[in-house]
Amino acid sequence: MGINTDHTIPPSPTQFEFSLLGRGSAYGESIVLHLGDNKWGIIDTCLNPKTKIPIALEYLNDISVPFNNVVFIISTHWHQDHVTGIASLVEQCKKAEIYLSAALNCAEYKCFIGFNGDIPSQFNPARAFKKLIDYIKKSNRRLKTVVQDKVLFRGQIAGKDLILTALSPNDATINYFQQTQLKELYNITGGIEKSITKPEPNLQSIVSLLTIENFGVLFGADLELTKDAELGWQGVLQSKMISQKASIFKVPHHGSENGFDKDIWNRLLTSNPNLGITPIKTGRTILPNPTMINELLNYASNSHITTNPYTDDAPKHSHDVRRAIKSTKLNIKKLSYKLGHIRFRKDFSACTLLSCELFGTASHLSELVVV
Amino acid sequence: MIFSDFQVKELDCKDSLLKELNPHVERTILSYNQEDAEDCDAEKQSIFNDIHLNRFKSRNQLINTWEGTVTDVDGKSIFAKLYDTSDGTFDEFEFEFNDLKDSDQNMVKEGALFFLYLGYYTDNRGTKMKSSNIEFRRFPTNLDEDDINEKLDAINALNFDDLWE
Repeated sequence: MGINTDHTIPPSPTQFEFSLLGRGSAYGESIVLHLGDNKWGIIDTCLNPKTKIPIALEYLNDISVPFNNVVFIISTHWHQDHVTGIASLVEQCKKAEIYLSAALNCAEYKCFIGFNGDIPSQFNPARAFKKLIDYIKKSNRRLKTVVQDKVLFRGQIAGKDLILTALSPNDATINYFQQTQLKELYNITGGIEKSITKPEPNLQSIVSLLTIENFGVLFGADLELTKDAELGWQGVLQSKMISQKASIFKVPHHGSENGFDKDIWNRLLTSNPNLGITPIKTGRTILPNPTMINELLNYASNSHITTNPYTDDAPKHSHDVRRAIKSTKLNIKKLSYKLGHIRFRKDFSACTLLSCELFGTASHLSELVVV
Repeated sequence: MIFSDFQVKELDCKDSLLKELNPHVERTILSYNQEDAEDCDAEKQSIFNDIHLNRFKSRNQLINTWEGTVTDVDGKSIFAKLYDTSDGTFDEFEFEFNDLKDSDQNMVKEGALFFLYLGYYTDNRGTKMKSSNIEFRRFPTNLDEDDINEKLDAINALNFDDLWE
């Protein structure tokens, strides 16, 4: 478990920071980056269910960073555990550029949002998008599309160039998503109100690479492998901007088997890299599964996870609800929403080593007890 | 109504939008209308939800309400993620087809949305007991021209193309 409880010490202006934040195994994840000189970036968002505040903003508040110092927000793909509270996040970070996958900028998606954006449901991702659109229209800000090899941010930290580049989605993925996959959005069975599970939004994912001289961090979003040589992770390898291997990797898709390919990872990562993982629990499926926990540990001994999904330390329902659940024999269990925080920092003004700190429920992957 | 009638009539006044979106809109409208949904006498989803909530409340004292989505189906067992409306947190829920009304059983598919109500039920003799009820949510069916126009207006009002740099 995370040995530190106080994550409120901010980085120095010359310290790069990559913070991976997660709440339990059902709420989502968010990444906070310090890009030098108090400039910050955020990748994806989820809410603290108690405060309804994006967890990235709660962390920035904890280390006394003004939200106007956030220079970009990237929404990697439109899955519930990556987009909750995005309208609020964008509204609070008034100076941030807003990046979305180019796969979403199409007539099919426009129609989808128009039809489904007002359906009241906590599980309706179109509603979150509609809220973002409503805010964007009011604010006169604009959304930026992301395609493979687009430079998303360029700055300096301790006099060294810091560059963040998108490695996906490539043209083939965008076309595939728009022309083939999006059509499945309309295969809605009449009479049933469904949350959207297909097309698999993970394909939209923006994978990005941050480089500072010979140091690299790869953000894998939820991108998966496909059978098509041009799509998914195979498509990432087509990028012309893979200038170096990354020593820190935000593991894609919660450490699932369909995000793991040793050959592809070897081409993108240094040997024994630092891995950051957020777990997920959906029905009977828990990621990473025991097989993948071993695979990941074999691949990288420095693997960390924001919480243990197998020993979810869940809060309890209120007394009345608990009694009623018991007497009606309903099989309901609350899911944990405790914060887990993995923080990497490296000072580029001196030859310092990379530090890794764990807070809250975060732990080394080897500490997971699979029940 | 037949969507193609609407298509011809409306093209005169909403030509550019419809030309671009018609294939998608038509497919969506058809999918809305392709199956009957029992108990769906409300035009709006919110009204539909209120009807079920009020039906439950009329004979019950409500203790808690969840919104749920089916995550997994395995034989007789159904697994779902719940949103606890009392505190905004998520729960996990396992139940069985036998727990559902007959008319809801064919609606159990991955992603399907439902409400779960928990409360005290008072029978005719005044005996109070704990009770729960699961109601699957339904799209309004048999959309008429006004409904379709409303949807098209909603799409138009997005100003979607102007949102991107």
